[in-house]
Amino acid sequence: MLRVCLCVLLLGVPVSAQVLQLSAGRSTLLGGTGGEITAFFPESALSASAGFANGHFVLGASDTFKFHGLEITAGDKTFGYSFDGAGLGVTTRGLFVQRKARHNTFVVFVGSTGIGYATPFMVTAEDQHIGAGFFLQRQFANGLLLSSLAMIDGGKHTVVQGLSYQGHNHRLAGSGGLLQNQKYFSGEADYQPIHGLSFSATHNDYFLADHLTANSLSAFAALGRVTLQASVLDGRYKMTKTTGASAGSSLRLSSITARSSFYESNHRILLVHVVQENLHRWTFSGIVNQTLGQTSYAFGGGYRGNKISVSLDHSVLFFPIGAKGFQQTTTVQVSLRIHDATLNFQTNVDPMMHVQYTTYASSYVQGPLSGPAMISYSHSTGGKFVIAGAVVDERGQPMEGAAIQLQGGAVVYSDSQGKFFARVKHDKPSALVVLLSEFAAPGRWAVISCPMDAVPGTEVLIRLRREIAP
Amino acid sequence: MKRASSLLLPQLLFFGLAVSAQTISPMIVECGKKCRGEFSITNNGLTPLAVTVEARSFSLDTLGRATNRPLDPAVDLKLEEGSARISPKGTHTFAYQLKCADPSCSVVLLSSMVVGHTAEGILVRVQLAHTIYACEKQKDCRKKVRAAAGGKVE
Repeated sequence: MLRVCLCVLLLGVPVSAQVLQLSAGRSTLLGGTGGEITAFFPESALSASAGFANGHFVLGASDTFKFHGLEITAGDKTFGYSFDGAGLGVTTRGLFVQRKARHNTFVVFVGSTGIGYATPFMVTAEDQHIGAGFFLQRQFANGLLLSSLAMIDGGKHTVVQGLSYQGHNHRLAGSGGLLQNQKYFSGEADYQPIHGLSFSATHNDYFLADHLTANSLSAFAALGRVTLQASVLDGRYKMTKTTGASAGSSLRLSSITARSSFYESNHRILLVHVVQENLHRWTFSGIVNQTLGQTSYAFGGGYRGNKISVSLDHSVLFFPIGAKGFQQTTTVQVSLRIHDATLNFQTNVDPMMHVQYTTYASSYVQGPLSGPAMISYSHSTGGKFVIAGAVVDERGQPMEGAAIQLQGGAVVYSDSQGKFFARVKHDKPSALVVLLSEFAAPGRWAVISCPMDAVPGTEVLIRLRREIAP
Repeated sequence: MKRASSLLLPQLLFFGLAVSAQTISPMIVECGKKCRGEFSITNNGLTPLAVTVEARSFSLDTLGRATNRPLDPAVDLKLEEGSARISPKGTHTFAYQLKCADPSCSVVLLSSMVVGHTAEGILVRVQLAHTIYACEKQKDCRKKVRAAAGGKVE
């Protein structure tokens, strides 16, 4: 009955929302397929999620709003915090009260815990246990940061205390306690004696199916265009010990960076040489791998633009589980923006060395209370020819914020001098349309004169008149 | 259901308009006589944002305060775009090429945007600056410009 009420409420509310966010996707890494709708009001947001996770239909909802300086969430949310090497993320359903100030963060949760799915496109929870928790973090003026985390998750108890100190040239951090009924300790020390030289040591315990311990020592030096780094790693899991060592250097010459790295683990040596070139928005990389007397070649790269970003990355990661040591991994990431919608696709390698993927789409829809929403148009796509002009009012004064659409759909806005320009690929006239409803300038306007089209290389003049409100 | 509706109503009535901060990155860059650079504006709001970019030369006084003026003839600046519409929660990158004919050039790219646009008036007008220091050599260009202006150099 509660679920039916929530559905009716959440489906009815979007009609009056200022902005709606719609998301949908699938992830093998996060284990779910589904979608979410979020309705944004001036100072609150209502969300509803539905989908399938491990073959089961799942549903979630939440309402976040502000009340006397507190941020309150009623519904499904992840109680997740990390500090000083410690971290906890539990799916919850209940009441969250959060207060964030400049030096303090305080969060209290009361409700239930259980299996949940927190993805960029769906947040759901299933009640399993009674739960409660709090998180407190305070930054002191002398560089100390104190963090406290406590949670009851059914029969699992967590009490973790963290403390870090940021000095002039060093940082010390440690945390310890009980993390979901298991003893836990983590420590980290960083030291930077001079600019460009740093040392770091870490110790971490992870709790998977068995107890996993990982330690590392590393050093980094930067000398102008040259960087040097070295590290020693050690991991223990299920009575198996895995050790590794790495060293590398890089040289940067203009837009080209060459990097060579040596990796050794389980008596296996891997040499990786990478040459990378950055050309404006493009990145190209060539990789040579040498291991066990064999040489292999790989290529990577990417493009980063306002509408599309693509990358193919090659990296070497340390996998302590299964005594795998250093392994080569390749990840692919694609992000596409069409008007107000984004499409994302990404592959990841999990700790068991399985390739997982996540893909989702998200879009914003402007509601009736959001004011005069700007419609979606593309922008200048670049080119060597320039269409330029100026917008003035009836007194000849420059007008800022006027929207002008060019042939092909590109929309440009006039600046404080009333001037606008767009780059086009072809040296031919382009039709001009003044989009009165898209003005960023206040007031109501009418067109006195506007040329039918604009020729690259010449300036056009657009004259407008302010309409008196009836 | 009745209780849920009664909780929802006060929210709709009493909460004011939230204006999210917009961000620019990077704020300051140093480069040589010829350089190619870019800066990004992030729209942290939930509605689309119209942004216009204008270039100005500037000079510093002894206290490091900047005075803007029209772009100097010694500066050859080619902006890829002069304006953009940025989607909700989206980021837009503006690219440029700059050539400086003087020993040093100080240029600021001012990004203007209107947050909370209505037909009747502007609620908030935001201007964010991306500052470019161009010298013969990129290294310590900002320090040199500040020192030349008689300012205190850290």
